Amino acid sequence: MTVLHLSEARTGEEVLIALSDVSKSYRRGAQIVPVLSGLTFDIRRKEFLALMGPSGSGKSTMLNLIAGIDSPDQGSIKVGGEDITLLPEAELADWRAANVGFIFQFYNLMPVLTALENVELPLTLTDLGRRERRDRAQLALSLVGLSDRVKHLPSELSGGQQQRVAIARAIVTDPTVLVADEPTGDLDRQSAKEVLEIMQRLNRDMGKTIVMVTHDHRAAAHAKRIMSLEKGDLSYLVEQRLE
Amino acid sequence: MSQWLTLVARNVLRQRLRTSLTLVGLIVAILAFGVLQTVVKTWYAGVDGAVPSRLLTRNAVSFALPLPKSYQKRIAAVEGVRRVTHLSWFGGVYKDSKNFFPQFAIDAASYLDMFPEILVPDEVRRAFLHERRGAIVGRKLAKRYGFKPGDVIQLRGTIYPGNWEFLICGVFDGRDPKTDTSQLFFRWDYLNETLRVRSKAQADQVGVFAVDVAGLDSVADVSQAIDQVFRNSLAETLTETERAFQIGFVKQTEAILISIRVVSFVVIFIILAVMANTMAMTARERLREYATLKAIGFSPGHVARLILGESILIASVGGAVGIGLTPPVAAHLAELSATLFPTLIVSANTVMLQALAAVVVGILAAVLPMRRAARVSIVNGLRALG
Ligand SMILES: Nc1ncnc2c1ncn2[C@@H]1O[C@H](COP(=O)(O)OP(=O)(O)O)[C@@H](O)[C@H]1O
Ligand SMILES: [Mg+2]
Repeated sequence: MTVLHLSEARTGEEVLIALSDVSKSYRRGAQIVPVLSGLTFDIRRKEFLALMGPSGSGKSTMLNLIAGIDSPDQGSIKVGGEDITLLPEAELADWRAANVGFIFQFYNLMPVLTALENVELPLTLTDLGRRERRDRAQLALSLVGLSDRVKHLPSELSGGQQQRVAIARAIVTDPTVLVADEPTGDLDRQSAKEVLEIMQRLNRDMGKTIVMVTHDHRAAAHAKRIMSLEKGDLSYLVEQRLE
Repeated sequence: MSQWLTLVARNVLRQRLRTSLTLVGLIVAILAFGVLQTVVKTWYAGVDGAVPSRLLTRNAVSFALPLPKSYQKRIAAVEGVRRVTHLSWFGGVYKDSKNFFPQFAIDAASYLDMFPEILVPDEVRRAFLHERRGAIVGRKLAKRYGFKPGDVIQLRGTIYPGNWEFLICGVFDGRDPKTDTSQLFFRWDYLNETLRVRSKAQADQVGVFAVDVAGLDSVADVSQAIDQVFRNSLAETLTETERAFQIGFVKQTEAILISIRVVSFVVIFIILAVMANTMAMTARERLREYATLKAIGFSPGHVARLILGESILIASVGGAVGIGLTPPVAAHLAELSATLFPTLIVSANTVMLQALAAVVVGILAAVLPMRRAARVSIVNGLRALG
């Protein structure tokens, strides 16, 4: 496994996420399919990283590991100094609730909840009062420009609007890191642009650390750094561009 | 908590057709269960209503064989016996053999004294005691055939030959809902005098003696003492408590009762299967949502409780409606059954069983979907089609 040109200290920020010697394989029947093998790299605070690469190269797998919804076969993943691979299931769930905001390709909103209720949902895991939750959810929705759509159900919103609700849901808990897996994969060009600009703003103005998987160069251009996961015998990372 | 309830309630309303069909099934099942349980209970009602200090003395060989009327005095002479009366099954047909209802020939005064559960207004009682061909009919029977005081009705004898005319003196009510008011009582002296003319061999006999015992403690002794009196006589007696007598009677139909019981539980089992299938389909379709919830920090228990809540909510609504419909449906069935069931009263116990059945169905139906949703890995759940 090779890591090329790992960029050091462009921003001077501390390392937020550190993967070291991470391997992951899947079992398909009797066959074992290696996906990631001995991957080591860092993500710094306030970074906006785009993770590119061909389909099947393991982008989602890597993102899932960073987000703590999948666990590696080997290696450590430290986020803010804490090795999340050592956390038991229940603590990992609490850790995700506090530290990770998720943005999915297909939005994954609860269809029976309104925009506001969807955004409020992660806050029900905190001990905030009802009013406080409402206020924060309102604020998050206003940050993505949807203050006038709070009472709408997901089915009453366009794809781009739904993804913006999802972004509001992801940031409402003020997490350490936002992970986005193909957030524009299901959107038309205009909606994609709006979503990416929001993410850019969250990163630039509010200092959110974002890790985004995409195979779209136009989307990746919104990030500060692009890395490619290439698939030879094994996947390896290529630093593509420095801002 | 409120958010959880919101999710549960709105999820229930998501597949309206599926939820409605499941609800209909649940309602019918809980209703059927309740009605069948009530039928069984009512069958045993005579046993529950039995007065512990009343003994019944019958022919030791069979229910169907009579005893000499002359036994009455000898029973009355047994120590501990306070009062004795008698009743005889008449088995007549009113117009058509499908019109079944019980008719008894009684010694009017002593019988009504010993069976206070039969409520007869004073003027009706006076008329009954005065009129030799007189008869009193229960409220339900009167309603069914439109019998009114002053009517003369005719019964065709099946045990006793010929046609018999009775003058309706009035209507009696039951002291409590369990009292059978689908019966007709007429005077034994009328029966006997007619038999002396028509069928001498059947005269001077009665079906069963009812014995009122002075103290509850002596019930067992008295019943033995009575049978002792008639040992080695032409017609030996068997004396038992009213309760034991009723049980003996109900025993003849026990196989049917057991089948009805079994069916009532089979119905619940079937709806459990239907409900479990509904919940499994529902949970399978929502795997991606459950995975999303888990990703953003909800525990597997949270997700499981969503499914459990939904299942219990559906089961509770179905159960409640089913329970609510049971009394009117049972009452209607009692009407339809004419005099087979005097009344079908749904007991508190039955309602509790129904509620329990509904909740158990709700819980059990959710078990497998809950396990699946709680266990599916987030990554696999997110890949599921939603
Ligand atoms: N849960 C899984 N079970 C089996 N194989 C999987 C699973 N998840 C991913 N894979 C396999 O791992 C490889 C990488 O998948 P993924 O990370 O989704 O790639 P990408 O997101 O880059 O398209 C693919 O070959 C895929 O088929
Ligand atoms: Mg992917």
